[in-house]
Amino acid sequence: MDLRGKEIFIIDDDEQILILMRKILENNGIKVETFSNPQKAVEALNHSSPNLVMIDLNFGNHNISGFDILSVRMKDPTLLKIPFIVLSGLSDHKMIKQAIKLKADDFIQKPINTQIIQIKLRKFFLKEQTLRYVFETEEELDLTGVISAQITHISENSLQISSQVKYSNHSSMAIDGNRIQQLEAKACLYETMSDAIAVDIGYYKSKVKIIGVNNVIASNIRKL
Amino acid sequence: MDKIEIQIDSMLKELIPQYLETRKKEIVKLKEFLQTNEIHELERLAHKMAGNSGSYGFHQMGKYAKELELLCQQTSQDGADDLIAKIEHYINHLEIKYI
Repeated sequence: MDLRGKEIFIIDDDEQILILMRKILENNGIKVETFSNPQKAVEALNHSSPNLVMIDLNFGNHNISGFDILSVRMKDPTLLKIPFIVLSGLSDHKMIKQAIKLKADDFIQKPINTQIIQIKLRKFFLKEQTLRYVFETEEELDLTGVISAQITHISENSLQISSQVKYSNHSSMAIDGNRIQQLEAKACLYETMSDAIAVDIGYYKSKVKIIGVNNVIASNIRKL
Repeated sequence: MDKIEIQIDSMLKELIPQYLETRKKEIVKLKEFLQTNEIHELERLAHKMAGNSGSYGFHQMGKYAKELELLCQQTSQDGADDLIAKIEHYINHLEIKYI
C-alpha cells in the first residue's frame, strides 16, 4: 500500500508528538498538517478534506477535548466522511469504547512506535480502498462475486485497479467503497478497457472506464 | 561508565539531539519548580515529559516522569528530587544505537 500523496491532519497539543508524527508520515510521502490548537483544526476541517485525521483525546489546557471534536463530527455528514484515528496515551478501556462509540475509525495507543504507525496506516488505507465488485452480463447471470481490490489511479473517466482477479476486456462491474462513496460515484457503471496485466505473482492491474460521470463526480475527482 | 544503551529507529536520528537538548532544559525547570514548591507546574511538566519520551524511544525516562507526575498528586513530594536525578542520570548516560 503506497501512502504517497495522502494528506493527514494531526491534532495533538504536544509539539514533540507533532514533530515526531510529521517526520514519520513525511518519510512515507504523506502530506501532513499539524495542529497543536484543536480549535484551529476544527476551523481547517471546515474547508479541507484530508484523507485522514489523527487526533489526541486529551488537550490539557484547551477548553475542548478530542471527544468534543468526535461528537461534533458525528453530527456532521461531511466530516463523518473523513476517517478519524484516535492517537492517545489513555489506556482506559471506557475511554477507548467512548471514542469508538463516537465513530472513531481506529485507535493507536501512545507511546508511538514508528513501525506500528506505518503498518497501521497501510492497513487502514488498504481497508479504506477495498472495493466490492459484483459483475454480471445482461443476457444471463455469469457470475456474481464480491472481490477486494485497490484503486491505484483515478481520473475523470477511468481508474486503475489492482486485484487478484485477471479481468478480461469489457468486464462490467459495480464498485463500492468509502472512496467511491466520497466521490459520489457509486451509481456509475464500470467496465474494463483491456485485459488485465500481471504486476506481481497473483496480482493484476486493470484499467477501468467510468461511465456516467457527471459534473459533481468530475469535480470531486479533481479535488483529490 | 554505566552507559544506558538503547536502540532507536534511524528515521528519528535527526530529531533526537534537539529532543534531548529540550529535555535537559526541562530538567532544570523541574528542579526549579520543586525548589519553589510550584507543584502544579512540576506535575504539568512531568506529565508532558511522560507523554512524549516513550514515543521517541526513551521509555525509562517516560516511566520516571510518570512516577514524578503521580507523586505530584500526593500530599508529600518526598522522593521527587530522586526521580529528577534519575531522569538526569538517564539522559546524561544514554548511548543510542540507530537501527
